[in-house]
Amino acid sequence: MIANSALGQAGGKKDINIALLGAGAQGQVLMNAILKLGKNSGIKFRAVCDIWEKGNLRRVSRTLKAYGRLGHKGTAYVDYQEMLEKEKDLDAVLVATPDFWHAEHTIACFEKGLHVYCEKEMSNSLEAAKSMVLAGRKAGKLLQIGHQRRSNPRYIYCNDKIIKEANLLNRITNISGQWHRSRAGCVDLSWPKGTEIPKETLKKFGFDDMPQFRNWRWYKGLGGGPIVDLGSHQIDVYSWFLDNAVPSSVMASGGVDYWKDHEWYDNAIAIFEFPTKKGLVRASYETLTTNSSNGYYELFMGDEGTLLISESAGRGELYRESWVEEAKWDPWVQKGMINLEKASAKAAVKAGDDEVDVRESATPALYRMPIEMKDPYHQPHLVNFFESVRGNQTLNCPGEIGYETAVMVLKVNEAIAAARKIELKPEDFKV
Amino acid sequence: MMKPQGDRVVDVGSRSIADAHHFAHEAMATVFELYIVEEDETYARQGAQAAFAEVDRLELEMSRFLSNSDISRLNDAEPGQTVALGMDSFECLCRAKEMFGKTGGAFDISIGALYACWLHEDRTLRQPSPKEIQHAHALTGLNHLELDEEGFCAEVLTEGVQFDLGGIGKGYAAEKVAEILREWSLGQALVLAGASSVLSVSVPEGMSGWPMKLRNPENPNEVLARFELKEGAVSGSGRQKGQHIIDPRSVDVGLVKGRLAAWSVAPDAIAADASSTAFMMLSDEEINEYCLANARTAAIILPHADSGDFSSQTVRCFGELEEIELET
Repeated sequence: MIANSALGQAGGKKDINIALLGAGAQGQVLMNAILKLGKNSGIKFRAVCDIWEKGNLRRVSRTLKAYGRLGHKGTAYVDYQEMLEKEKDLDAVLVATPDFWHAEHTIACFEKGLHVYCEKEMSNSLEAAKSMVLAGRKAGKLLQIGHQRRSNPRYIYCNDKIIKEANLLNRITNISGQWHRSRAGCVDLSWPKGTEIPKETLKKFGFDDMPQFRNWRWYKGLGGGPIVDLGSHQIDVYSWFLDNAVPSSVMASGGVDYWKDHEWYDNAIAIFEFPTKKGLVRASYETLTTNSSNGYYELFMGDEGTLLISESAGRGELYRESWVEEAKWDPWVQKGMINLEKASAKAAVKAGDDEVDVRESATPALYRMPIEMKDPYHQPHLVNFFESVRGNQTLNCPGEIGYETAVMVLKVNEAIAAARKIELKPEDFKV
Repeated sequence: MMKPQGDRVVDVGSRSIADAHHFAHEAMATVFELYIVEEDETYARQGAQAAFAEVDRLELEMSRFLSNSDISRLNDAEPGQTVALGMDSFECLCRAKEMFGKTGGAFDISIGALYACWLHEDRTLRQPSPKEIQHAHALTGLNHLELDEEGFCAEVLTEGVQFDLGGIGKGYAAEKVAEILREWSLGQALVLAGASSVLSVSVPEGMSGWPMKLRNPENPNEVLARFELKEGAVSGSGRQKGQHIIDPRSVDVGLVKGRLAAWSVAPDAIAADASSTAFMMLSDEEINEYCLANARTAAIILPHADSGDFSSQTVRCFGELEEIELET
């Protein structure tokens, strides 16, 4: 893997001029996270580009105009080539367009000598994703992929402290995770009357019509469906917490079962096998778009403990298997690494008692992590990118890592389509 | 076209309107509801969906229960530390400060310390020592909050002061919902941010106003007033049985006893939310002055039966909205 820090500029708080390419819901989240860095961040918006002139583009350029007093500028463009041509003082671009545009947009930025923060999924095609990494190397510019959990302090803490340093789970044998969304949260998006994108513009940028533009995530050739939109974030964490292990196989089931006018699978269940130094880890993942029960989380199960983590602020639990002596975890409580919230149920045979109290398994002890996510979502990952551009940090999710995750996730859709287990080799994940 | 029929009026406390499409969504610990008059129901639903998405977004920005919201970041900040805010939280804090000034400090988003002082965790009354009251007062008031309009940032001047947009955030969200509905050309709509805040985006054609009624919270069968909401908002504050309201303005006043409920009719939902809270504790004279000083503002007050307020045990009305019809 390329050492990204070597590509960064000299250290210090150099101003970084940026443009937002793709100003939809996700682009707006990124913009707001950056605006909340405040007036001394040195990050300055210069321009914004989106083909929805009377929608996204208007909204974002209006916000950037209001923040003009902090040195931001939101010159609005419909055509990204025009923006890259005219905006001469850019250092970096945030790409938050639909997946099928990521490669072309990212490579165009690299060709202009700009660093790129590109939203996940890196691309809807592995070939295109690979070309992004290669273009970045050729240009000598940074490519950060937007798997923002990699910079979330709670996730970093779980990986570095709980799993690695304290080894509280011991050997991880299984992982499961889910992102379930309610039916109401998955209804097709529409648009206000009179704000339609002209037909020729839609066509030029690869869309058949407005419904397809607004709901591109559901269309083949444009997005990848919920396994890509949602699952990608979490399957990326599976690999990360296993020391960036890659799976040797994936099998999956899914279908267009509920949202009949969609092209991509509206539910998917996948099983991966991760060979690791400690042994095989079997990991399942499930995403639904009809029922939000239990929301979203990742669950790491070791033979001594269980870690439940979610990006949802405040959701994080750690359980000690009841057979593991409390004394084994105590030193970590003493050190303040974890907090004991609820001790396990009493042992079945009480001291001085000569009968076994037969009942259900004892409940495991519950611990919590003493760390909160206190920054706006995505902000730490953006800061990691900007500080890497300044040469002060290395990227938490460079293109090579983003590519590995793209392989894992896009192979799920392939496995569903093929209705068989897909074997994967380590070289399948290399660029 | 929609016509009010019989008892089909919006009820600040419960509700029912015929012939308008109705959409509901849980957010901000309450239910947001929209009544939209529009021929194309699918289009109205799509507009409602966009509006509700905005409410969800605002909740992430403003909830003090989320560790990374703007308000939590402000509450966690050290004195002297500047916190850069999103545009919405900043705007909402500016309005909160404005309403703090207009109500002489009766509406105060930093009142948490006083509640913690006067009430146990289960919300029952405790008897704080004079020292405790004084300490809580020292941590209350928006003079502890500096807002920098040039930088969209805020600074907490005193350690320990905590802010909660609960009393104004729903009104702010209602205004943002109205903006979105206008963008969608769905202006013939009524926004309910919970049962206590109602905003008319505009009155549907063929109607003279959205029919409202105000009920006695202690006796829901008793309708206290009826009126038609044409533009602007109406908001209600009340005291449920066993609930306590604290007046943050002075160390001496403490618990508010005289009022059972207060409603405010105001040009926007933020002013309505904040002023109805303030009307629970302002004196009749102060309410009258407030209504005179602020255009298109009216107040309806229901005194508490055991308040010792013999001048009137019935509803009192202030301001110039003649359309308000008291049920006598």
